Formats: sequence, structure tokens, C-alpha cells
Amino acid sequence: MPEHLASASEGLAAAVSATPEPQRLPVRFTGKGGEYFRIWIVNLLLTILTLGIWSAWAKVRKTRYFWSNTRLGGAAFQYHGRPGAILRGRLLAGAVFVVYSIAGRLSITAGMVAGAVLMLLAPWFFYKSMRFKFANTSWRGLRFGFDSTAGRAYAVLAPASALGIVFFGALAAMQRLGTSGKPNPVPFVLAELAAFALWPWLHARLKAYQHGRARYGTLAFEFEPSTGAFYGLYFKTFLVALPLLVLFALAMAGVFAATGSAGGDPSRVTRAVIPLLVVTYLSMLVVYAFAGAFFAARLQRLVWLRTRAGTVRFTTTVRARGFMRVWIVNGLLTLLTVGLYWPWAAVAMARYRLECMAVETDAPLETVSAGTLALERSATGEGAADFFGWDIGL
Amino acid sequence: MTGAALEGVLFDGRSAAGAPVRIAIAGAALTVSTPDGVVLHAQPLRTLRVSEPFPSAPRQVELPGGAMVEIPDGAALTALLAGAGRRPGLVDRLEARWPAALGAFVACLAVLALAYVYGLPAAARGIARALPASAEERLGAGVLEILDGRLLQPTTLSAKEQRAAEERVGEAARLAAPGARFRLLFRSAGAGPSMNAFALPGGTIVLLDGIVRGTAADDRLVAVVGHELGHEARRHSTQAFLQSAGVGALAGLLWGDFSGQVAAIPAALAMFDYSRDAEREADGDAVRFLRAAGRSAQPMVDALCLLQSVEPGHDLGALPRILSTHPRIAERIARVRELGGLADPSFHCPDPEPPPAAACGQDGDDEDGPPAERAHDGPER
Repeated sequence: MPEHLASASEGLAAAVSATPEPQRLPVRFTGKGGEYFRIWIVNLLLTILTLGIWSAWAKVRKTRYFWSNTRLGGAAFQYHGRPGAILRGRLLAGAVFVVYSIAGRLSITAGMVAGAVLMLLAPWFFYKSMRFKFANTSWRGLRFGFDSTAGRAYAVLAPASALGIVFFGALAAMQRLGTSGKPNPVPFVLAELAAFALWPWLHARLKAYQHGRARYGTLAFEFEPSTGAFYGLYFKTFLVALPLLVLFALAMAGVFAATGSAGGDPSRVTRAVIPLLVVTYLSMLVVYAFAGAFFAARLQRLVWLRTRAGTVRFTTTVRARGFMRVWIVNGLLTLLTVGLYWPWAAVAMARYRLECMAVETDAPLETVSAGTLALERSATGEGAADFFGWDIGL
Repeated sequence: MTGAALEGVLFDGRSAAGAPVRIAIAGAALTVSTPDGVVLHAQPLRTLRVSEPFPSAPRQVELPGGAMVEIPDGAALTALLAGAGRRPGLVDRLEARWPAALGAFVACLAVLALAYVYGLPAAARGIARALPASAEERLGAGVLEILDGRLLQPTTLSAKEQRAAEERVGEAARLAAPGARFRLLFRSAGAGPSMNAFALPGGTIVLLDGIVRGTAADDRLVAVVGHELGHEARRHSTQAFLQSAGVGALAGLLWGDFSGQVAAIPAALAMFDYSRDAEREADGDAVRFLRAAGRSAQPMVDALCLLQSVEPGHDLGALPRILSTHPRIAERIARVRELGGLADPSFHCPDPEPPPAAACGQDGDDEDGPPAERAHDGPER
């Protein structure tokens, strides 16, 4: 307690003195696993008892817990999302999802059409989600904002949507030819290659849009163009993963050789299934822990070191090693406790990500005044983002 | 407590600048004053809007006109408000206490257990009954596809053996259940035990080679099909599938995403995993079927004896728990005998016939031998 009070009064003093000197404000996170466990379990019970309706309130409470415990210069962030709006957003997104899955079951063509329609809707969902997230977050009594229009969201995300539609189209083409004889994988493979080649560019575009259109009051965020850096990041991650994938292939070959199942004898294949599954899952975890941590850490650095807001700069000391440590400890303990460790894991992850960050500013931040962006009250995009599991957070 | 003052920062909502203030409670109002003691706001406690009392977090008090006071020591504000008689909300209080959290944990487990034991079967039964026949047939076709792809293999019965079984069953069904729509399929269990038959949603009854050979397609097979027709009529297989698919969905909800295929495998295996009540009901149906077809209940007793003879210590192999969840077979035999008016306390199943000396072992090896050579009379063990 005294520790955070000290930092709070420091921040308070800094805020009041309005010194023109450059300041360095570290981000502090005061959340605790035990506190979050209690919130998580109570809200889980309420969600179960209300057949899911409480989940919107639960989401708001959990988000408020994380933001309230995140402090910059002594002041906490606040989340203002309204549960009613989130519930409506989730119901609408749920309806879209049901239509999509029913269409997929009716016929392949209907499923492809529904997938393409979803691709067309995605930019709008993304835009609404960003508006809702930013406009409902505040610091020092001022709201953040996302200064964009649906038209701009479509312009920015058009290549991604087009690629998605091509992907579904290629899948449909493969299926259709499949019924008349041999399946023709060529369009699908081409679409897949195009996705691989364009992915870093699309990711760069998305991050530039997300960070470049953010506002804090009247303070506009800017994002340095970085397509090359994204290609570099993906290539380096590939290099990190490569030796692991080779080891994985060797382990698979080893299992095949040890169980002698390469001969095609069905009973021996059955015997090799369990070791193969174990090797596969272990390798996935290792690749994820190493390459995934490398990617996550480098991405956070890449994105934040290129983000500015007026004279405000962001620094981060995040390291792949740090991510790896948190992930491995979290993963093991969550497994050993059959999921009960999850709230502690979420807090540990948030603490690492947040406490690595700091804000540097030449002019005092208290000179920023309130923006004029309209508040976003509809949570449709937010609901869709929750529903389809799109990770588009900061 | 009304004398105590807390430090806070006032933000007016128009700029990020903050001003130090003191918070105190005077009468039924919360006052915000400058460090010099000038009162800026007095908010009635009744209408006060305060952020949640998270233990380590600051708390914010909303003021009219978009202004806000942030109090770094949130816990002190909680104590101050409690002293003035304003307690946190119910959910806040539950979240603040370990006993409540542990109670919520136990309650979560209890609700999930109740839903599993009572809610899920009831829901599955309701849906199974409401499902149109065409949907059941599609479901059955899907399950058969999974089973054929992963567990079952083409039958090793000769065309003659299949015809004999179909004729025997068809003749009995024409008498006993003229309206029943069903089809028989023959399959080999591959590496698993083959002394079994099961009903798929939508009227498909799969007979494994072992049960056809073991019963020599006599009236014991008629009894087995009568039992499976009971499962069909009562939609037990649809219910079991839905029940298992429900567990899959629940598990996906709790532990992350399940791919459709992975979730469907346990659901397909649920075809072998009826409740004791379901088995008992189907046994009764089998006895009624036999009677309507002009037979006694004895073939059902004999069929159960046959099952019992292969049950103990049998390696269950690739079809897990294929027989194990049936009610104890001895119990079922006693009940069938009672239903069929064959009560005789001294009854015992005859000793199982010795296994055939032929090389065709139980493990399903050498399945590719010519079918004609594999035909034999004894139960396959």
C-alpha cells in the first residue's frame, strides 16, 4: 500500500508543478492475482446462473479492474463501457455467427457466401470496436478517441478483405472441382501463398491505422510507416522458429522409427498415435514459447517505438526472455491447477506487458484538453470482436 | 469518521490538468474542498457515483458536469463511505471476500455438476424428441461416417451370412413391428471387440461381425435387433449423441476451442454408452418384440448370456467402454426372465462354448483372409 501511495503522490506533485522539463513516466500495474481471482470466480458464477447474460457485466468489471490498476504518472486509467451496450453487441454478433454457421451447414456455397459477407463486414466491426474501446477509456478525466470514419476503415482494410474473399473463393473453387473428379488445389495454394506474402504488409497497415488514428483529448497519435520493419519481424521470427521446426520434424521421424509405423501396418499406426500426439503438442508448446515470445516482444517494441503523440514518446523494455518466463510459468501452473491459476496468469501477463512501458514527454501532459470526438455508444463491433476472438487489442 | 479527510486530485474533464483536493464527509454529503478549506462541491451521499472498490486501485468520484475526483487510496475512501453508512454493492462485497469467492467456486462446481447430471440429459431428451426424422437421419449418417473412418471396417461376413441374418430379422420385424423403418448394416470392429450391435440416430442398426457369427443369426440375433429397435424408438442414440456433444460444447467453453471433428468423436462413441435405465427400457422392448413375433423371451436371455460370456476381462481395445456401462448383465438377465415369465431361481447361463480353434484370433489380425474360411458357428472371443 505505502508504495503505491508514494508513487501516487509523486505523480500528483508532478502533475501540479507543471515543469517544462522532459518527464519520464513509467507505467505501473497494481493488480493482484488473488483480487482478480475473486472477481473472476464471482462473475463466472453469476454468468452461469444468468445463462450468460451477466457476461457483459463481467467483462466490464474485469476490464475496469485491469484499467483501474494501471497507472501512469500516479493517475489510473478508467474504463467506461456500458454493460447494456456490450450485451446488445454480443447478441447481434451471436446472431451473425449463428447465420454464418447455419449457412455453412446448408451448403458449401452458402457457407462461402456467408464467409465473404463476413469479410465485407469485418472492417466495419473493427472500426466500431476501435471507437468503442478508445472512447470508453480515460486518464486524468480525459477520454481517448479513435478519429476515423467507416469509409477510411474500408479503405485501410480493403486489401485484407479482398484477400479474405479470394481465399474463400479459392476454397469454393477447390470444393466445386472436387465433386466432378480430382480436387484442384492450385487456386487455394496460390491464395495461401498470396496471404503469406502480403500478411506482414497487412499487419503493418492495420497497426498504422490503429495507432495513427488514436487520440487523447486533442492530442493526436502518429505512427511512423514501417512495412519493412514488419517484413523483418516476420522473417526473423521465421528464422527463430526454423531450428525448432527442424527438431520437431526429427522428433516425429524418431517416433515413427521407434514404433516402426512407417510400414503402414494399421495396428502399429494406432500404437504410434499417442507418442505422436505428445511430441506434436510438446513441440507446438516449445515453438510457441520461443518463437511466440520473440514475436510478441519484438512486435510490442516495433509498434510502440514508432508511435508518437505530439512530443510524447513511448519506450518499452520488453524482452522475449521476459515473455517466455511469464508464459512458461503461467502455462505450467494453469495446467497443474486445471485452470484455476488463470486469474493469476492474466495478472502476471498484464503486469509484465504494462510495467515494461514508459511515456516520455517534453511538454507536461496536463496541457492537453478534451477532444471533440463524439462518444461511441454502440458496442456492436466490440461484441463481434469478442465473439470471433479477433485479437485487436493494443 | 466524518472528521477524516482524504487526499484526491480533481480533474475537470476539460483538460488533463489536476488540482489537489481534500475529500471529507459532512452530514449526508461528500465534500470536495481545496487544501485551503474552500468547499468546491458537496455531493449528497445518496446519489453519489463512485467507481468499484478494487482493493489496490484508486477510486473515482463522479461530479456534475463531467468532473471527477481520483482518490489514490481507494481503500480509505471505502472505509470512509462505510463509516457514513454507504456500503458497497452486493457484487462488490462478494468480490472483496475470500469466503464468498470460495463459496462461488464451490457453487460453480455444484451448478456445473447439477447441469451435467440433470440438466443435460433432460435437455438432450427434449431436443431428441423434438428433432425431425430427417435431421436424425443426417445425424446418423454423420456418426456412421466418423465411425467408418476411424473405428469400423468393412464386414468380413459372406453375402450368404448377411442374407441369412437379414431374412431372420426381417421375418420377425414384419410380425412384431410392421411399421418400423430401419436398415441393418454389417461392419467389422477392426481391432476392437466385435460382440456388439448398436443403433444410430435415424433407424440404422449396425451389427458387428462377432454378434452375427456368435448368434449364428438365430433368434438371439432377433432379440438383439429388438433391443436396438427399442433404443431407436426411444431415440436413445440421438439423446446420447446430443448429451455428449453438449459436454463437448461445455468443455470448449471452459477450456478453449474444440474443433468440430475432435468434439464429434466422443459424441459418436456415446452410441455405446447408454444409461442403465435406457438399457433396461430397451430390454423390455426386446421382450415385447420377441413376443409379438411369436417367440418367447428365451432368445433374449440367451443373447445376454452370450454377451456375459465375452465380457469379463475382455480387452476393450479401440472401442473404449463398449460394454462396461451396461447394467450388470446378470441383473438384466434376471429382469428379462421375469418379464418373459421365465422365472426360475436356479437358472444359470450355460458355460460358454469353447473358442474355435481356427487361427482367426480376437485381435482382428488377419482380417484380410477370405471371408468364407472365417465362417464358423461358435461365438467369436
